[in-house]
Amino acid sequence: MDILNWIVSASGEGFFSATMRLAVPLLLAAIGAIYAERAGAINVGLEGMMLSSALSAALVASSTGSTTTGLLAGVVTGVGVAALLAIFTVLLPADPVVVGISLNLLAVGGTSFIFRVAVGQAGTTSTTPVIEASPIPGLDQIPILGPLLFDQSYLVYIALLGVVVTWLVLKYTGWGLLIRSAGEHPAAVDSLGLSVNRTRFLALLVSGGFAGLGGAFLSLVASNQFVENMTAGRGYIAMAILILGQRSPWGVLIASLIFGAGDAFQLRAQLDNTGIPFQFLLMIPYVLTIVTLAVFGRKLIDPAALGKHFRRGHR
Amino acid sequence: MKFRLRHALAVVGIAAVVSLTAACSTAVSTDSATSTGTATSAARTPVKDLKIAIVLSGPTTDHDFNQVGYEAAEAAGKSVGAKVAFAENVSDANAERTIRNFASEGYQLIIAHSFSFGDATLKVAKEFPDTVFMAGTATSNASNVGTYDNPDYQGAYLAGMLAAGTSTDGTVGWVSAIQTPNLLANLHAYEAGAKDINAKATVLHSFIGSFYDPPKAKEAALAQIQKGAQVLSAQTVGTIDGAIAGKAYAIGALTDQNFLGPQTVLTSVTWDVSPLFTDIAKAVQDGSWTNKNYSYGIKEGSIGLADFHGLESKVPADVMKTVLEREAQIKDGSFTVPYDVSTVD
Repeated sequence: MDILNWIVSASGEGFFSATMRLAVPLLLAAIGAIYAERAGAINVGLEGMMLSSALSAALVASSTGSTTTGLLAGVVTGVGVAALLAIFTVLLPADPVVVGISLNLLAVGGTSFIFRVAVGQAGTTSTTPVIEASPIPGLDQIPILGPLLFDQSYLVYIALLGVVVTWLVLKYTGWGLLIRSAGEHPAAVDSLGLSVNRTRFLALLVSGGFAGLGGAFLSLVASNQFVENMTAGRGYIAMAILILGQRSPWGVLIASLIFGAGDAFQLRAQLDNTGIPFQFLLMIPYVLTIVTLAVFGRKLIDPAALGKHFRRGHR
Repeated sequence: MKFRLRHALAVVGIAAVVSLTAACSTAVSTDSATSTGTATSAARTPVKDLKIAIVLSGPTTDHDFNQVGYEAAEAAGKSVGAKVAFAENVSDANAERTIRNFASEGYQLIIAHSFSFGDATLKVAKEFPDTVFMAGTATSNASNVGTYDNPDYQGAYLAGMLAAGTSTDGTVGWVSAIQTPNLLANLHAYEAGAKDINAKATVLHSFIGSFYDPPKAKEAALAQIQKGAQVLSAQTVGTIDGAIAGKAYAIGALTDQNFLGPQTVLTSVTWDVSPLFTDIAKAVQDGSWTNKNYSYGIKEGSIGLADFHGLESKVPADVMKTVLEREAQIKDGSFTVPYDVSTVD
């Protein structure tokens, strides 16, 4: 059984742990976006939130020497950018896609500018401390699940916890019901005297916080530095993951793992002299995502009020 | 509902296209064919208050290609007393407009510092016959368009020797962004160097598909280390992070990158293009500039190995000796590093 041998071999374990590392920034951003979109607020600003947080996490971590402080700075930054998005799209009737894209562009220029002001032309945050993997003894020995889930940095455990908590919140709590109602039937929420826009505002802030974690993961775990525009489109991929995962926490987890596995696979396939052009191998995670979406995406239903601005007393 | 699915597919599609654009846009740039062009003999009018502009495809802080170019332009400007302006993060689509802007603002020397700005440069050069243009590479040259290149493949050969000699079983790695002639020449020379020191050396190579994606480069590096690579050539940002995490060694590229991993980066293949830019600026000033291809390599002191920062001890003494001998041979012309830009899988 070659496959079984491979699963427990070093290269198999490497594949599974890389799958999770490549999936986690997407997973974090997409989990947060579940709150926003289920509440009816589109978050196109994920890319900008991640990029801004990657910078603030790196800067704060390298200046304080504490990755925890860096992580918190990343979350605060994500929430801050999300607040900006929420002010324009929830309180004011601006188009969420336009504002989201603007924020992403602002983040590209803004982070480059702040990075240079902070560290200078030839500067670097290479002294950024790194969050190392903290394997969970015992559990990390389980085949597949061990390297996938339990031999990772604590940020990965937070992401997995985020999946479970999001599922519980949306399904079993009053706030979860409020979020879903704001997305499906805002007028009903309003008729109960509850605020649709406050719900959406908070949901966007939660989304920003998660995207901030994802951004911080990029500069504190997935590399040891901030590099201009280092998100490389991950915020947009997260939006695709969100839709592929049908805006459900478990769906998003599976979707991001599919993408991560595709990426981890192609990086390894490049080394095996398969004769397949590397350009094709680079496409694998994207093709995999499109194919999965085409096959399983048929019953996709958006929240009824997604992206519709709500004003009390208006239809 | 059907519309939503299409909408969803579009999002995924756009994401895929965005991430692959980088791979396609630069892959089409061609080999430095200009060196075959004939140089014009007619002397140009000397230029008094020289103003130099450099157009960069990436940020001036990348510790890589763009930073090297930016700093060299600044150095050249300082040494010849010229004003220097720059434009960074210029996409291929914006190159022509940016170059034309500088030309119309009266800059007399415009450096298009990318392997993919050749066509844009040629186009603008036609409209400004009195301006001197220098392109990283171009498909043809014109009376006022010269080219220059980055022969860092010469240094890559030495890096390959060092890497394969330091690796206990000759397995080494090479992580890069995409396939460009420059990077391919670099990879082939790295391989040739590795085989020079150890005929059984294995060179693993990865392309991550974009220039600035450190998390991806780190993962590519880790995949190579798992496959047995003990020393990695870091052709893209993030590779060194992977070498640190996977407890392997790395060899930096273009600038001294030891600060990115003081215990990991053995040395770096450095590229200093300032002598080249300075010579060109002087030539434009005194009117002796000609439209040839300028190539400054190891011999001219533009390519070399950076300081080892105390990691010499990690390289076996006999390997180090052979490497230094080769370097001397390249300098005195008795050894020529093979130049091969054929594509790889």
